Amino acid sequence: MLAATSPERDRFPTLFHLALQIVSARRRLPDPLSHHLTAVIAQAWDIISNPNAISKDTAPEAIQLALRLRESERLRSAMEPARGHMTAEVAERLLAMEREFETSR
Amino acid sequence: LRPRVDLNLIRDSLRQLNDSTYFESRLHEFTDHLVRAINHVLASPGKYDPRIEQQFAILMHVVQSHLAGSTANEIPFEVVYCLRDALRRWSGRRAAIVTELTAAHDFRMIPVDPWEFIRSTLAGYDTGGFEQPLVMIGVPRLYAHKPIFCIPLYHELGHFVDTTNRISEASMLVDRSPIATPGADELSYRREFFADLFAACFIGSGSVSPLSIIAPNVPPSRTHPSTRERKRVVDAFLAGSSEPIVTMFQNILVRQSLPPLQRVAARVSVDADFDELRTFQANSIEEVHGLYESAWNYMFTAIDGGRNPWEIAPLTEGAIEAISNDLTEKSIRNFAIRTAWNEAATTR
Repeated sequence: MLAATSPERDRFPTLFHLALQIVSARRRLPDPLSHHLTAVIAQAWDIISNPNAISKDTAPEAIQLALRLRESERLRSAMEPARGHMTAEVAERLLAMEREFETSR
Repeated sequence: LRPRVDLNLIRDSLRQLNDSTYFESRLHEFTDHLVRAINHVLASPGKYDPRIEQQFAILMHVVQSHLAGSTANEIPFEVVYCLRDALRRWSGRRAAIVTELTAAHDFRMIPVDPWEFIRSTLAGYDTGGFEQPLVMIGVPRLYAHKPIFCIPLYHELGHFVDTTNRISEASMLVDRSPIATPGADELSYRREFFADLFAACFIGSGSVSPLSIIAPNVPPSRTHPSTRERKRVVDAFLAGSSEPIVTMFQNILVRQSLPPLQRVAARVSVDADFDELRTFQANSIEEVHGLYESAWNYMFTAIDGGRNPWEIAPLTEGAIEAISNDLTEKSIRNFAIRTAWNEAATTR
């Protein structure tokens, strides 16, 4: 009530973060996690261009990610190549940026 | 340590918890499912990525530590009873609620959803449709049986509903007009306003009443609006006045197919009953929620105004507090017992 809520804004959503770790290690994602990653990225880009697209079917992680993307031009640029498919290189870059965000606050 | 070693320890601890006499019955099923999931991972070496096993072990450890705090027979049953109803209205999923009595002065609420993680990462494991998230509620030990002082938990539940659905974040995407003071954290402000409004649905002006005692005249900070502004927004909401912050949240809630912000609490008065040292007989769960606001006002009116309907001499603040909280606690418990009795009778 008086204390600040958790500083989770500096981190990526949990499952998204885990998926990035696995992809960056060039390991295969389990199918459900792969589908989750694809859906979250696609929905996040959709929401940025059209926030009115938010619906009950929008994953909460997509909303979280969309806000992060909207607030950071650098993050958008880094993620742009992974719109269709997340690669190890992009995942590595995103995780490095996350570490930067966390230490810069 | 190593995730698989930790998972063995965690599983054994969960089994012990399940044998505990004081472990709440509804948590047994939850714990059984966790043990099954851990057994699945332990029986499948090499099947899952080490990062998944590591994250899974961390998650299970968090859940195990929350469950371990719920074995003592000290759970503030009445408060949890009310919060469970509030949560049911905002989540299609039943939640397992565990409580921890803390030495701290703050209330807190920590959500953990092991099933979303399990569904998304343990591809070879079938949860069997079990999907209850766990909500850990931290209550200062001092207030464990003082329901009137547990009012801030409704605010914390509002934060839980918000972060689970990302309501405040969604509002920032749809409505970019700032509501925070310049230089302040916009998202934090929206989260506080949402939690205040959520609590107001259940406890009316009691949502911000504690602020007038613990943080009167507090100016805006980086993360929190001023007490005055928080009270203004809640008052406008309860009065049904046009308030842009309320409208902003209502628009998002419609998009997300979540319930609208609207008063749930029925307006009741405990005064006549409490004056006679009788419990208040609530006729609905909505009246139980409404009980908090009335009991809060009753207690502080008696303390501040020196009312002594019981003709106790000398009457101390401690006595007024004890009478008010005891009668509130028993009023809620009576309702819970009557409801359970009636349900049992009608399902026979």
